[in-house]
Amino acid sequence: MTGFRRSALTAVPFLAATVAYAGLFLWSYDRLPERIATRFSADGAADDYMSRAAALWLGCAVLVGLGLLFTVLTSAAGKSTGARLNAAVGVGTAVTLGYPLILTVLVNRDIQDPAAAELPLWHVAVLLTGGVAAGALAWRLMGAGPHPEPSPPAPSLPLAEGEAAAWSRTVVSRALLFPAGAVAAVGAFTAVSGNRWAGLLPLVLGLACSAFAGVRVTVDRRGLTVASTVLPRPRLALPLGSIVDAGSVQVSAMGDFGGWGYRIRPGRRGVLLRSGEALSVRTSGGREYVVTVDDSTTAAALLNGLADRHARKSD
Amino acid sequence: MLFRVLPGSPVPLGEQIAACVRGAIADGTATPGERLPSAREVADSLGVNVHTVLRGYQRLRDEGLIELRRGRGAVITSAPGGAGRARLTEAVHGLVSQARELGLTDQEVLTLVDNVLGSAPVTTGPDRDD
Repeated sequence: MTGFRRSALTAVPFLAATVAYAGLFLWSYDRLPERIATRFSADGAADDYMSRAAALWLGCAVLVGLGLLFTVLTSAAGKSTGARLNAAVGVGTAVTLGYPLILTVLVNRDIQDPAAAELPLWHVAVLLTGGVAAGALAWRLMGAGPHPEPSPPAPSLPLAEGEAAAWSRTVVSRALLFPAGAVAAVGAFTAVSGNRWAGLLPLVLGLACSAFAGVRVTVDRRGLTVASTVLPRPRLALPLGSIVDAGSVQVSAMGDFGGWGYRIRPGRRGVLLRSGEALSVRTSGGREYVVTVDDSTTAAALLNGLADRHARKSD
Repeated sequence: MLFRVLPGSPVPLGEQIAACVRGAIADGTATPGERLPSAREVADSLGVNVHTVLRGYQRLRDEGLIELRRGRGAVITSAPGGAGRARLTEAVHGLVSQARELGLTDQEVLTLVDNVLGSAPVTTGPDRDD
């Protein structure tokens, strides 16, 4: 599937939902009450209202905005597996949002008092099932992309008998650190100047994110360890005995893993703070672990050397 | 940063650790501003005493190659000419070990260096900056 067709597959459901929603809204504009019911409680009764124009603009803005976001993400992911997941989630989102928006217009038609509008709860089951089904269909239509080629393992660093060797390097993501720091600062400011509890959540969230904006990657007699530079745990640890071989690869965070952070893909896990050079480790469990870090060739060579020596010793 | 030490070697472990960092600065593998792992981390990784690692780090600080700051750990100096300094220090280590092999006394080595210093013209230029 070409890049254009992948992006189109993501954009079309959002476009269709927007056209259907706006078309239906405008066509039945005069049959809608001045203020329409836009939120419904569990028993189906309306419990929040919005003016007609505001509801129309808000609905269109949400659909168009998310449509643009998912289309851009899908086209940015290119040919890789991330594009497939992006498109599937995007299509599912379009259905899950478009269905209740259109339904809201329908239940508000031809009534005088918006409080009379009703939206039974079973529609939630329909929209969730519909969203999942549409997402699954998009997943099938996209088809699996070409499988990533296994990278050739790096040469093994020869180690003398009794020699102790270790490699360590930090990788800091400024792209993650600055927004996380800003969120924490906003939270701290709110907590100090205004609502104590409203500020607490962004503060904790911002601090937790900035703690993982910098990680230290260590290769030593214990194997591979990836941990935050400030917190001892949680950490990713692969003991030498579980390591088959290591190599240096080029990865695209968005393209190969669909984003940044700790990512899980079928048979592949990664700690991605950026795109580019990464250390790739294959384990005896058949999994590949990828960690973005500079000078990964040295790390891979040392890991191979240590794993070889460990295997010789345990024989 | 790659650390390799051989516990059986006649060279003290702290000196071996310092040599690893010095070599990395000299050949550009370690860049100015890069943070070294803490002494405790290196000690755990290599299975050596933390004081041994600290001795190595202090040696590097005395040579003007790293900065040791409380709380921030060890950072490769960002002062200009760090790589050149590291290469020069390596050369001095080479000079000393060669002199030892030849059986020269410390005084003889110092006189040798002093004589060369005395006859070499003093130049200050952009050469220092690399």
